[in-house]
Amino acid sequence: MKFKIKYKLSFSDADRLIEKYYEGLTTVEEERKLREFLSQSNLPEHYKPEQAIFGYFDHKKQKAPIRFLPIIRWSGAAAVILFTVFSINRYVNENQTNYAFIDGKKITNVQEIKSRALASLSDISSKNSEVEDGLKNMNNKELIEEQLDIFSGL
Amino acid sequence: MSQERFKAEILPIRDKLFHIAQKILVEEEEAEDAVQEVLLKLWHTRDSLDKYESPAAFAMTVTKNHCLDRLKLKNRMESLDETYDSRAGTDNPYLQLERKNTEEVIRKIIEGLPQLQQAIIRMKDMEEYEVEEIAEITGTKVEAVRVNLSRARKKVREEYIKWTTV
Repeated sequence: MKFKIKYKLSFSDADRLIEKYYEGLTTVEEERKLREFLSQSNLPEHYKPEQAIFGYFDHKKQKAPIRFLPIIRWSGAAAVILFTVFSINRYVNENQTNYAFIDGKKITNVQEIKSRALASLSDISSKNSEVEDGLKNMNNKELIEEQLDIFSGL
Repeated sequence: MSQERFKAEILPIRDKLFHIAQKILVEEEEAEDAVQEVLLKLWHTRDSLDKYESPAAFAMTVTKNHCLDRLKLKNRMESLDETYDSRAGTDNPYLQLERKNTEEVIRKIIEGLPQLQQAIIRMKDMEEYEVEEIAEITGTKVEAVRVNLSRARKKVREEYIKWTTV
């Protein structure tokens, strides 16, 4: 209750501010207090003009562009920049992970890439005997020396 | 254009703008009002002023056009005055009903104010600029802005009472 009395203007304070208002002497802050006072219902009849005027500006103000404090304005800009950077990042990454070139064609379908990759693996897979033959050849000294001679240009 | 650049680039050419205005409008007081109106207009569109190679040259063009418009409007108003006066007496119930729409009434009253007073009352009562800020933007004394604001507010009240007690 005490808080309420402190918060709202008394009639005499309001009258004093209204007088100042018409002289162009009220600050924005004082006009805010006055607006709050005038938005009460059941005020005496003689406040009608001020209620109408303040009501009009209040309504218009909601439509008028809001003047942000610089910090709010900048944090808004920062948020936009961060969002843009992250979305570009995401976009780029998505493009990098989800495609493969097969026979010079760009394929984005994961299932197709998998099946084509398996097919190409089966092409180069070899039988066990072939692998064993290869290993035997690696132990063949003569063959190795022959190869080395070729490469050393003798 | 930032507030600082506006103050550094536009406000110093105020005398030039006044000179242009006075050439067109002749009367000193009217030229002064016109310059303040132009400066407030430019202030509200200062974000787009950077588009122009020379914001100062643009400000001078705006001043010239604004004063010419003002002159045209004044000539038209003078010829309309008689018709307006004869219409004022013919009130009908429909008009009276319309006048009860508070918001519409106030809007019309404000639109009837001199342009500079309109601009000042909008900046103070809607955009919440302090009188000192408006004085800085228009390059005028705080007292001059306060007087115009006071006149505008008193006029709105006076007209509102007149309109609603028909």
